[in-house]
Amino acid sequence: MVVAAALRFWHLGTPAEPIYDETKVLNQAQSFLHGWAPPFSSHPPGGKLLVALSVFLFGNIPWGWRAANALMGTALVPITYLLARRLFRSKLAAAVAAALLLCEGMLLVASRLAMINAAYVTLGAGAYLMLWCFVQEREARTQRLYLLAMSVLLGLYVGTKAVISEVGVLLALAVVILALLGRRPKGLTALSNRRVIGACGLVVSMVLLVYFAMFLPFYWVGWGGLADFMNYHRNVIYRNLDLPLDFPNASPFWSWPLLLHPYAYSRKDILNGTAEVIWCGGNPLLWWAILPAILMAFIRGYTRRSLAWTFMAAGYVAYLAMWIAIRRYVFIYSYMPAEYLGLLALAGALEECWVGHARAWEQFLLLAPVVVCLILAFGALWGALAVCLISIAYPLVKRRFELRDGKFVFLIFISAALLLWAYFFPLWTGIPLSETGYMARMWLHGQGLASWL
Amino acid sequence: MKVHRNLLDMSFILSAVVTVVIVCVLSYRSDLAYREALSPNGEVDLLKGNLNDHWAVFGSLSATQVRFNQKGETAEIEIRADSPSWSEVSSGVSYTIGLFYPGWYEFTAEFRGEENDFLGVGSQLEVRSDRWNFTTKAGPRGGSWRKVDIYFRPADSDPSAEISCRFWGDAANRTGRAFLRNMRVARIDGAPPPMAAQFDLQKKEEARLGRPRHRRNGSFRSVWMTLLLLGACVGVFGWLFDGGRASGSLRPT
Repeated sequence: MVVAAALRFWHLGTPAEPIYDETKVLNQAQSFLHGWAPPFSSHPPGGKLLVALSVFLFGNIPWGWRAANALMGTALVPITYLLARRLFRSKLAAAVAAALLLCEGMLLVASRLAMINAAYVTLGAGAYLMLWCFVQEREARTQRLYLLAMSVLLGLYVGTKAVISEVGVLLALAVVILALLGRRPKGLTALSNRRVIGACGLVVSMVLLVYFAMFLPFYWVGWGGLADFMNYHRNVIYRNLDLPLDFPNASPFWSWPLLLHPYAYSRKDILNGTAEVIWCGGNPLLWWAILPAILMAFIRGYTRRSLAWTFMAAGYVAYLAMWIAIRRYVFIYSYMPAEYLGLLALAGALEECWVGHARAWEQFLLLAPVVVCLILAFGALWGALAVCLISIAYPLVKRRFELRDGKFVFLIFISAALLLWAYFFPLWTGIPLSETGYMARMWLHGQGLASWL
Repeated sequence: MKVHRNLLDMSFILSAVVTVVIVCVLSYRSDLAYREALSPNGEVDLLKGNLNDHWAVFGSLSATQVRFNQKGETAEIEIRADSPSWSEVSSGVSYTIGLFYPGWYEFTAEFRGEENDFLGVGSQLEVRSDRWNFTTKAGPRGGSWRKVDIYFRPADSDPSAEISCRFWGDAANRTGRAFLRNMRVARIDGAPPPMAAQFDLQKKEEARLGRPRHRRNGSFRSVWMTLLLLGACVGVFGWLFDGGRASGSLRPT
């Protein structure tokens, strides 16, 4: 938590001017503060209201614009720890999940800017935490409280980000139904039927209530009644249908897990030869390792009949599959909710390596992204040499310290993730880099989709 | 033993929360210090200090193609373009400054271009804040100093200004120079002089977005009715869920 706060609040006031979509969010936030009609936005007002509150509390300065999001981003780390403890019933897995979150760059960037991404990911994570508290609770009355808390958080989630958040609601509903039906393996009884209907109705109506309540500021600045609410949503749909397929820096959803097309939110080339870049890209090792982790999650969910593993795997796929139907340009930062579930699955997979439950092919799949990163970072020759060194060190270390195979994989992976975090940190925080240093970090720089520039 | 352990856990959590608060306060304090450093006495001299650390290059020009030299009170910007792309996109040098004190600011500068038909490079000085742009051009036949003195009130949604010197040219491999002196942004008390060039960006923003209308007519009732209806649904479904209470644990995850 302390490390998360330090990373998110360090030099939060730089850059001193709004960058990328901060201009749009600040525009909306200022209109709420002044009581003006807010300019059009495709997303509900939750994230902008949070920024408006931040400006109201801390002043109209860059630190004030970004402080609330930085707090949300900080809160995401302990929430993830608690959620992972619930999912895996392991302190180690929980600690690894929190550590992976700290090593991830795109979430760090989102937490340091006055945009809506950190807020909705944190609200979603909070809702999942309440969901798993509900699933693991025995007392029905306490269960209802968890269900209510989850529904409020889901309502805030839906009220902050359009479309993506609805997948989160469906995912939560599916888990609630499965958890309730799981108690009656022989099918629907009158009692379970009633509880399932009650739970689903409670979630849906509370989500709608919170969502609707979030639009109240619009009524204060000029909306007349329900008709304006309906018109707003019609307008959002029509405008999005009119948007083109392509746009600068946009990328197809299938390219996101491969980290093919991250881009710079802002780039300032200082005359002293350095560049200050805020890069909307993640830690490549974590991104690429999520794919095998999700595969393992599917297999574990199926073979162990585990709701937790299935939740992560199915949630990841659902958050990606939703984009198949959307015919407008989209950006890589929309991968964040899927990535979050992927990081949880990765933490679980690494924990299984440490305790010795991971099979050889699983360990190999987790090491494969490390090899790719080594080759891309040092070039084919030096990368291959590093791989050889690891291969030689492996039996020696194993014999000397009597390490299990999985522990070696775990240590290699975590060390590599930390090193890459340190290497890419300047790109996420706008620390000046020389042109050579910047280009060295742009591992993919082709002309087509596979470009990090 | 368990009580001790709980106390230990609680103290860890408490100390973490306190440390986070301290981190936030320190971050806020250091940012205030940075803000003060940006505008001592409400005035920023844009040509003071190491210019190469403050000015950035944009467009197709790279830092190696631009030289920014200070000669006494005058700063000289020289471009030595060697690639065709710089003349095809908007290229030049810029300085971005945060203007976080609400109110009016005065921008003053003197600007001179040293270009001719043979060199074929023109330049212009620009001040941009939010959606607003103030431009003065020099070249390609410019030669005398032009004085710029404008007043503006930044919009709350973008309390910053970008001062830039742009170049354009009719060929790729031209060189050119522009000179700047007495370039300042200063906060002023009250309103600017009536005859001065002035731009109230906050007012423009208000005009663009419109004043609040507060239409509290009959249809507003539908909003409260909807909220009440949804609230009632929450109550009914909550009762339905709790009414069917059963004992026993859920299946393990």
